[in-house]
This record gives sequence, structure tokens and C-alpha cells, in this order.
Amino acid sequence: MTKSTRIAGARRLLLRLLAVLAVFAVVAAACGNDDDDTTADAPATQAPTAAATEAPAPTEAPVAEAPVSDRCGDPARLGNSINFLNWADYIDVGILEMFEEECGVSVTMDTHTANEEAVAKVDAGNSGYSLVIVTDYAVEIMSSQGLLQALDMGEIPNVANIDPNQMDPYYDPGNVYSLPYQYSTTGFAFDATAFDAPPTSYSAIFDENPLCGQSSLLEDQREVLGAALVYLGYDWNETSQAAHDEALEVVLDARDCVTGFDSANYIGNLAGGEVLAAQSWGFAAGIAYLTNPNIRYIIPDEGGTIWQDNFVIPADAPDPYTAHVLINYMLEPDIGALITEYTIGYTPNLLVPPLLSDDYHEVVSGAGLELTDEIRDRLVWQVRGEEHSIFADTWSQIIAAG
Amino acid sequence: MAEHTAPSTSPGPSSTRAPARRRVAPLLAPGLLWISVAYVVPGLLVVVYSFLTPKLGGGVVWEATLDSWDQIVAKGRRSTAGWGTVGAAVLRGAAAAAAVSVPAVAAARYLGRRISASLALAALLGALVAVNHLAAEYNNYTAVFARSVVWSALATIICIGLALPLAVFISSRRSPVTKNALLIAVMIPFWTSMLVRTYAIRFLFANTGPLNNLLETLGLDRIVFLNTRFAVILGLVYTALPFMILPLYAAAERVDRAQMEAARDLGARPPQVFADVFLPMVKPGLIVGGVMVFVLSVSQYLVPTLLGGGKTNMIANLLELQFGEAFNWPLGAAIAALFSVVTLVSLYATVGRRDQEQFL
Amino acid sequence: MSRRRRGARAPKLAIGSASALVYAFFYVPVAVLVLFSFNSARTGGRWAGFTTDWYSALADNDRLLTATWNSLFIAIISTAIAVVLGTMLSLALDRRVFRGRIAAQQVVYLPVIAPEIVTGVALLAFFSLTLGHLNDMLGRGAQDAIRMGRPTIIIAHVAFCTAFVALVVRASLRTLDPSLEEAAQDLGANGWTTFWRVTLPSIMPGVLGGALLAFTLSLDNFVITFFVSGPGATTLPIEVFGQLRRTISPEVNAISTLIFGASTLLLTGALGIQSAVSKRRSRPDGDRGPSSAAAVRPDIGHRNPDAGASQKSYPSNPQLIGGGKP
Repeated sequence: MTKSTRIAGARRLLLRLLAVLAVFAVVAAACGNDDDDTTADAPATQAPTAAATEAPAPTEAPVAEAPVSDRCGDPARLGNSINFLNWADYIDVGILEMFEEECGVSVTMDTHTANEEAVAKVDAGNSGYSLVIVTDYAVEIMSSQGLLQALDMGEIPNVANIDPNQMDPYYDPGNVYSLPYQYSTTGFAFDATAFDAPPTSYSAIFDENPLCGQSSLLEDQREVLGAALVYLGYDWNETSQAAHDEALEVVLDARDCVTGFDSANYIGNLAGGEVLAAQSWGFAAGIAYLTNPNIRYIIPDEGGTIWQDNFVIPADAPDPYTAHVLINYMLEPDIGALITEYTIGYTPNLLVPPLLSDDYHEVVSGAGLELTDEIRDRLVWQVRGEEHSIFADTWSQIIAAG
Repeated sequence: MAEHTAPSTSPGPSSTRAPARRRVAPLLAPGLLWISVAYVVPGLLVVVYSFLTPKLGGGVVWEATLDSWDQIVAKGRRSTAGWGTVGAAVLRGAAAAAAVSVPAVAAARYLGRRISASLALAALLGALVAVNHLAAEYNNYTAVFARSVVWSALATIICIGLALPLAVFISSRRSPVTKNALLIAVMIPFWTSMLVRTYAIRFLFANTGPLNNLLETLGLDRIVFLNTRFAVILGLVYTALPFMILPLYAAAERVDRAQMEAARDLGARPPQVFADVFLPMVKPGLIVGGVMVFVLSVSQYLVPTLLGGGKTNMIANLLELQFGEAFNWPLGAAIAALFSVVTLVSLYATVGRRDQEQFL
Repeated sequence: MSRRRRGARAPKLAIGSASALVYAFFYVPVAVLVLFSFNSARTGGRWAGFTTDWYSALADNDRLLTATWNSLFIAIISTAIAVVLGTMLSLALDRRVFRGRIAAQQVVYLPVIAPEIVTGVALLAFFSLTLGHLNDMLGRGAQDAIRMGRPTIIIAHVAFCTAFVALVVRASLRTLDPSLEEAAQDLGANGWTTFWRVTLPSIMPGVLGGALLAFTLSLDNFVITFFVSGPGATTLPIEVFGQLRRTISPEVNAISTLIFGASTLLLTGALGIQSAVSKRRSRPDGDRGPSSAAAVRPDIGHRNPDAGASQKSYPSNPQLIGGGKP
């Protein structure tokens, strides 16, 4: 009896182990399969986005002919692999496969969903990442903490392709540590069918809000409070207590009428009609437009923000040379076009616009994403210094409210 | 593996204490060491951090300061808070105690028990209500604490309500195969990503989603469900329910049905059998499940983020702000340290002393 | 159980329907995601036609497959370690008397009460400190440094999983009469044999329940995992959370459906085998086997001395999770 109990116990255990192994087998088989497929036409077939499914393949998807092209730097110094930390869902992964195909460097990309996460990881030391993409203010913070190494522009000849307007930014004068990857703006997206006349001011959310219960604000202390501040006539980066007290009132009033402070779901919500107006990132309005062509994007009269994501190389990067080569590769016009088709952001690369597909241009003009000089004049950069901690204090009270 | 016939050492007359003293270290050390490395040391680090200076970009500057605590205590105080708030809290507590004592005393009478326990329960509840009101109205930080604790407590109660019938249902199946099938059916959904399922819940309950469409078809008004307290509490229940079901089932499985039969045969009414025979027997499972549901809920991040939409926030959202965008790790550490105390106190206040020693 | 009393129907019906409701609560969202995995529309909730495209796309989606593999790998290893450590801990805390027991207890349950995000940040600070020293000691530079990755994730997961296992197993131990183990020892069984033959079979529901909870917790953990992960160690929740910036891709629904289907199939298969085994065993073995080793049988000495009288037809049952009381 004892023995049989034990055997039963052992059998039970074995069954469970088998179950687990079988799950493994299924996954492993699936993993194995994809090695057989060639990845030459990768970007066109695999880009997992609305952009890629609904827009045809980019104009010049280059197929690697030679194992090592002249876009791969010095083969003797080039590493075999590189770790890359990027914003989530911010590149067509086919590009990384093309780089591997062309230059023989396998790229392991991990993603972050906030600059603070990336800063924390690099700050911890020996993160293992040789290339990181972070937004403007994070570059300033990281370089001031000594977390970045100066870029060697001699290894990045394609720097000549970059729009001078996007160079020499406030957060990195002279581009010592960073080069622009993509940039975009923060403004206001709405469903044109819901408005008789398109809104032009933040009052559409902060004051009369005709779409109570069908509009949302971003979940971002700087963007929401900044919008409230400019709506009240202050500067977007204002740090005085009095101004923040007023802004807090405005946001708390609006809170009852917005469906939420939402940076994650609102793109789908806009596309699906769940919300009809939302404070929005520019590229996000473009993505929503792909599903719902009634989506329009504006920078309100009071102003909006411009932001730029950048390549940086951590001070303790294992393979800075390969990182330089990868940066240069992504600044190639054809690759830059693939990136921008995917992100629906703005490219800092002057050679890219002619290569962009009609579909991209259709999205940009259809959704009202053109960045004219008149609009540029209304945009400000968000600055983050010690004194801007007041934004978090104000925002804490909004969190405390509900 | 120990062989079937391995008697040898005879440990003498049954005293569990003597051999126990000798062998506790090998049993205890590995697990304790592991948890200490991963939690105690970092936990102490958190306490230390709360007295340091924030560094732009995250982390700390090693300069001692009380700024974070000052921020919580002084700057966190609401402008509207004052003696009126205290008075209101006391009134509310008294009202709650009075309201609860009536049914509690009635229940005690019905079950043939002394009413002193019921009165004590009512008093405790009243005190909790008063403290909660004070926390919610007095200080911006403790307001988030109070909300997190109350919602988690509600989620725990709902979980108990849902898990009890299920545990009884499963444990009263005869075939072990059926039991296992039913238990496995509880767990399987939880092996697919929580995020994906929460997303599905969002879809179901959206203003333009199937449930609201159904309401409209039936000629009713659409209900705003997402980004409300209701959605968040439902999400808490959804994520934590299996953590109540499993221990409760394990306890219900051991319930002696003969005893319940006997009680019934002796003329006990079903509620009496439930309260006097069944509940005491499943108490260990109830407490373990309750503790797990509560603590898992109270520090939930994804549920308030995905279903609360930034409008209904819990403690983790506040911490996320400080450790993330705000770059104020010391303040985050201070909030976390304080919140750990709040969680502990809530647990100790609810789980009686005798039960703590026994089950916790 | 055997004697149905009059009027017992109504509560039975209530219990049954309440249970059905709970299952519906669990399965409706799963049904939605399964449905979406076959929806040809990429975004939005509208049904645009049936397709299996997302499943074929999945085969090419290296990132998602790697993340799934990472999640399973980490969950399985962490659960295995945590079940052993957690059971040992609960035995020590429940069956032993020693100085500092209360303190040890508090430490063990620390992971249960600590907010995840704090643990995550604290662990990041801690690992970066220790790994930094380790790398200095080993003289490793930027190229070959020991970094965070799957091992650090497993260390973190084992820690909180152990606490949950210990909690659940202790609840089982509480209901197990220690005199049973004493009886076994009096009859000459040594500590190990007693544990293996008496204690473990009796607390098996708790151990397996703890294992299931640990596995689920590890598989779904997002916050802590994010902070302690490193290059190439992205898990499924992290990958999915990243996608929320746009919308969850249908491929995520597809892999979730596959995981759901695979676990259902496998566990159903295991149940089938179990059912066959228990049927076969119940015949030749009869009700109570020869009782020479009665003292080390788990069912003797249980709180319920007349368990045999309660007319249960199945003998020592090889249950997956349930059971313990034959």
C-alpha cells in the first residue's frame, strides 16, 4: 500500500513533468520553424503594424547581395552581436534582421516604455546595452550623470544627412552624446465627424468640453499640466506654486469629464470610436488615422510640445564601435525611410522624405500632421531640471484625488 | 531517495521537540537566506533611501535629509483638513459601529452565541471606518493608502463570497478526476497573460463594447464602467480569485462531513452548521487566502493602470510616479516604507491574534 | 453526504449556479481573446472576418516566441526551486520550535506584503551593487561583465514564489495532526521516511496548490521582472506591455490562445490518464490494502477517525491537486 501510494505520487509527478515538457516542445518547435524561413523580404511581410499591413511595401526594400556591404564599417572591428534598448514598438524589427543579413551582426533588442526605465537600467551599470534610444530630456540627465560616452562622428559619416534644424538641441549642445532618431509633437487628436468646427484650443477639454465622457488626456504629468499651464497663459515649463495651484484646479475640473489619463489605450480608443478627442502624440494620431480616417491632429493655438528621440551610447557599452556602425546604418536614407514608415513620426534625415511612400504622405496630410513653420513656432521643448519636481508634486494630488 | 526499509535510528518516545531543535537550520536556512537576499537587504535599502536626497535621473545622493518625510506629513496635508475632519471621522465611525452592531447582535442571537464578540466586531469596524475617513480626508498620500486598503478589503470579501461556494462545490464532487478537472479549470485561464485578459475585459466593458451595446439594444442606458472604482475592484477580484479558491478548496477538502451531518442530526439549523462547524474547519484556508488576496490587491499596478485609466489610482501608481517620472526615489521609498506599515497594521487588525500565531 | 436531507436541494442549486458564474467570469475574457486571434481586423473591436493569418505570422515573430520561451523557462525553474524551499520553510516554521521563529516568520512573509514596484527598484539597486562588486573582483570589464538577465529574474521570482508556497503549505500542515508523524517515528521510520511517506502525501494538495500559484505568479509577473531583467531576457508580459502603446497585436492573442489550448490539452490528457489509472487501481487493490505498514499510511490517524464510515468509494486517490484525504 505504501509502495503503491508512492508510485502513484511518482506517477503524478511524472505526468506533470510531461505536461510541462510538452508545452516546451510546442514552443521550441515553433521557435525552430522560423529559422528555416529566409528573412530577405522581412520588413515587408513581418512589420507587425497597421502601417505595414495597410501600406504596401516600402519603395526600395534593399535585398542584401554581398555578405558584407560598405555600410558595415570596418569588418575587423565589428562585433558579432549587439544589445539595443529601444522604446517599445518603435522600429520595424525587419530592419534589425536586414542589418544582421548585411553586416553579420545579430541585434538583440529589448524595449522600455518610459525614459525613466532606460535611465534606471543604464544607471545601474553594466546594463549590457551598447545602443539606447531615449527622449531629449533623458539625454541631458544621462550625460550630466556621466552615463554616456561622446559619439565619434568620424565613424558616422551619415551625420551629414541630418536636418540642421534637428541638430544642436538644448539637451545636448553640439551633439556630443546624441544624434536624432525620430521626432514628433504632442497636440490634440479628434474625430472630425464629432465637431462642427474643428477645435483650435485646449478649451475643448479644459473648458466647455463638448465631448464630456468621450475625451481623454495623456497619463503624463508634464504633458497634462503643461497643457493646463499654457491654457492659463503660463509657460509650458512654468514652476511657480501659484501657477501650479491654478493648473491643478483646471485639471481636477477636467478630470470628471475625461474618460481617463491614458497613454496606453487611447490610440485604440480613438480608432474604435471609444473616445472622440484626446490629447495625443503626433505619431499616435497617425496610427489611429490608419484605422479611422476621420482622425485629425492639431497643435492648439496655445501651443504644444516638440520632442525628439535620440541614439545614445552608454559609457560602459560593451561594443561602442558596433553601436556607431548601427547608428550610421539607421541614418542611411533607405533604412531611415523604413523607420519612419513604421513610426509615423518625423524623420530628421534630409534624404528620407523623397523615399517615403505615398501612403505615408497620405497619412501625414490626411491626419493633418504636416509640420509647417507656423506650427513649429507654437512648439516648445519640455525642460527637466531640479526645479521641475513641482510637476510631480502637483500630479501627486491628481493621483490622490481618485 | 529513501529506501522503503530504512528504519535504523529510533528517535525515542514521541517528543517532536528534541529532534526538532537539531534539524531546524537545514530546513530553514536555504529559503530564509534566499528571501533575505532578495527582500530584507533591499528592504533595508528602501528605509535608508527614505532619508536621503533625490538625484535627478533616479537614485539617490548620499546626503541625509528628512525632506521626504516632511513632504508626506506637512506638504501632503490637505488644505481643507482640520478638526472638522477629525470630528466627521469620529461621527462616521460611531454611525458605522451602530449600524453594524444591530445585524451582528441579531446573528449572534440566532446562532446562540454571546453578543460580546459581535459588539467587539462592530466597535472594531467603527474604528476602522473612522481611521479610514481620517486618512482619506486629511492627507493626500494617506488618501491613496486608504483607498488601496478599502478596495483591497472589498476585493477580499468578494473573493471569499465567490470562492466559498466554488470550494464547497468542488470538494463535494465524488470523483477525484472531476475535482481535478474543476480545479484545473480554475487555473488554466491564469496561464495566459493577465495583460491580454485585462485587455479583453476592457473590450467587453467599453462604452462602445458588447455589454453596453446589449444594454442599448434592450432599451437601457449605457453605463460608464471603465476607469471607475467598480472596474478596478472587479479587476482586483479577477486577478486574485484563484489565490482564494486554491487554499479554500484545500481546506474544504479536509472538512469532516460526518461532523456536519452529526450537527444537522442534532437539530442545528443550516446557518448554524455553517458558522459553527464548517467555518472553523476551513478557517486556515480562509485566512491564508484572504491574506494573499489582500496583499496581492493592495500593491496591484496593472489593474488600476489598465482598468482605472489614471482616474482611479492605487498606491502602486503613486510609487510608479515617484520612482519613474518624478525621479524622486527617496520620496517613493518613504511612501513604500509607510505603506508597508499600513499593510501590516491592516492585516494585524483584521486577523485576530490567536489566528496570527496559528496561520501567519 | 450519502443521506440526502429534504430541502438540501436549494442550497445545492445556489452553490452550483454560483460556481458556474465564477467559471463564466474566468472564461468570458479568454473566449474574447480566442475570438480576436481569428479576427482579420488588426485593431479595434469589430469583427472583420475569420482568418488564421496571425498564427502563421506568429511562426515568424521571433520576439514573441523568445519572450514566451523566457517566461516559461523562468516560471518552471522558479516554481521548482520555490516549491522545495517553501515546503522546507513551512515545515521548519510549523513543526519545529526554535528561538527567533516569529522573526523568521516575518521575514518569510515579507515578499507577500512588499509592493512590487518597490521590490523591483530595490532589487535593481541591489543587483547593480553586488554585480558591480562581483565584476570588479573577477576583473571583468564592459565586454564580459556579468549582467542582469534570466538568472537575476529567477532569483527574484524564487524569492516571492517561496513565500507564497510556504503560506499555502503551512495551511495544509495546520490541518495535519502531528501525532501521525510521531506515530510513524515511533514505529521506526526516520525523519526522511516520515516526511516522504507520511507528511508529504498528506500535504500534497497544499504543495501542489502552492506550486500552481507560484507558477502563475511567476508567469504573470511584470513589475519586478522588468527591473531585474537584462539584454535578451524580455518576458511575455514585458513584451505585451510594450505593445500597449499601439494596441495589442493579434499575434499576442494567437500565442495566448495557443498557450491556453496547449495547457488545456495537456492537463486534460493528464486527467484522462489519471482517471484510467484510478479505475484500474481501484479494482485489484480493494478498499484497504494489507495493513502491515499501517503506521506510515497517510490516512491513519487523521483528525477524522471514522473516515471509513463516510462511505467514500474511492481508495487512495492519485489526485493531481485535490485529495490528501483518501
